[in-house]
Amino acid sequence: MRTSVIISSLLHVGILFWAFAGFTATREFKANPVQSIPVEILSPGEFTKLKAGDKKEKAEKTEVKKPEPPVKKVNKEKPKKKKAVKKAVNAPAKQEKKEPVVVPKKKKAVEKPKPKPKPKPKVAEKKIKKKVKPKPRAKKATNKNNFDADRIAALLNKIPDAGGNDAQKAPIAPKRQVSRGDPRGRDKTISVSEIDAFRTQISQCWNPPIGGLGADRIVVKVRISLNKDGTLNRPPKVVNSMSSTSFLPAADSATRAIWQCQPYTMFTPERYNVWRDMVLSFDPREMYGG
Amino acid sequence: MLEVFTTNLSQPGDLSIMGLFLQAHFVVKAVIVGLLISSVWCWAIILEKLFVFRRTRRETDRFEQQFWSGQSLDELYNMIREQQSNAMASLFIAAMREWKRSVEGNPRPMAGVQMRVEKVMDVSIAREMDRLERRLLFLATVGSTAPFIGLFGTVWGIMTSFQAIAVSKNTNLSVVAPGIAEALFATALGLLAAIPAVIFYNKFANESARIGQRLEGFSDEFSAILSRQIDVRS
Repeated sequence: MRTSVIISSLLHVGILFWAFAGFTATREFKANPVQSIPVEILSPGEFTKLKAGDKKEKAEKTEVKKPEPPVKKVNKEKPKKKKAVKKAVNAPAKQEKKEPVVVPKKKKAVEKPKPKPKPKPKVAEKKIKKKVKPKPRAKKATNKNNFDADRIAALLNKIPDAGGNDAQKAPIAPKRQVSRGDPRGRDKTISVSEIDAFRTQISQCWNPPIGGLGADRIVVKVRISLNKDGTLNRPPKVVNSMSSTSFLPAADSATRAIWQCQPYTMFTPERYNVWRDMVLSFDPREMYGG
Repeated sequence: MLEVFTTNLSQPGDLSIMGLFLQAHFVVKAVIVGLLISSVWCWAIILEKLFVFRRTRRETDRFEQQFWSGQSLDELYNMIREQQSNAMASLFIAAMREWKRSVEGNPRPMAGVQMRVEKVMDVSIAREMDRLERRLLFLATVGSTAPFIGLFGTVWGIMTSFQAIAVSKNTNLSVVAPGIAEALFATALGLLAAIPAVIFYNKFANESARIGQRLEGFSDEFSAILSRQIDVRS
């Protein structure tokens, strides 16, 4: 009997040891972070909207400075670009019409000054060309912005920092919830791929409560502040509230998702002040594909 | 409330087996330890009985072969008397001893020899069966009660998780899950102990019944031989 007791206890100890070693914890099912596919595939020929917006701004600035004499209105209305662009386009068009008529009348006798007026229309034409080009871009950009806003706003709405409402960015995406800004007004932005990566990471951890009455209509907004290494600086804070009974579980699930998914390493540390403080909005409808 | 909430979230709970055990309530711990001990003891019994039954079967076969090989019973008795380890052999030895005591000295066997030998053989069978079936009842007990003990631990663990709900006023999975996990762990252990106990109890009960039948059959045949002997001598 003694031998069998010994054998049995050895067996149990072995099994327990195996269990401790084998099931130390629930294994994490970590999928490789999904690299967000460039937008080109989805909407061909288009870059991520943010970068497009920035590039356009720079291009317009340079254009606006050069043609100072013919288009003075543009400079005054710098912040409002759409209008500026339209006016800029209209102005040279008028000039073009006028100039060829005016020049020949005044200087018929003298042939020498002819070359002088000629370059003017050329410049004007160039200006027109230059300014015509940004126009469709600007339209496309705004279209993109609206489109992307729908897509992204669902899970992740970023509301800019306190200093984020600088005049430059406002016209680019006036209604965009994902607008993000730099307090200093430079084009430091979070790229869409970063946002997509952030969004995928959080949606992997997010387990929205299912089945509550009107649970799919509950949107939770959570303010998070991150450390530079992508971990949470302090507990996430739910900033909105709803009277529904399902709101508390939904808010809990959102905060839990944020807790569990950290650290968020997809952001570039150079733009830390951009993503340091964010407000995320969790909308289950997007999760259900509604 | 907020603190409870955040601690629950920041520490989603160690769901390893050791972590579950350490987090568990005292009662659940006691249940788990008790079930583990009973499982160890069950398996000790199972292993021992496996050896015992296999040996008994083999030696019984060998003895029957010897018994029916035509050897004289006296020789067989002298040969086997020293070993005396086998159930059937010890039955045979007890019967032969009683027979020798009754027959020795007087050419005519004493009255009632048949009955005495049968009695001795019955006692011997009972003793052997008792030896074979010893501790089998423990298996039966564990098999029938371990699930209930595990269930007790489960109920207790679920009570814990309900208390957690009451404290945090929150039905999150992270609030409920640890209690339920430890609870289910207790049931799992109960089943783990009970299932082999039931299986092997049935197996051993069946086997001991077969060995008992063989012993009964042997004792009947032996008493038939004795009665023939008595009739021949008288």
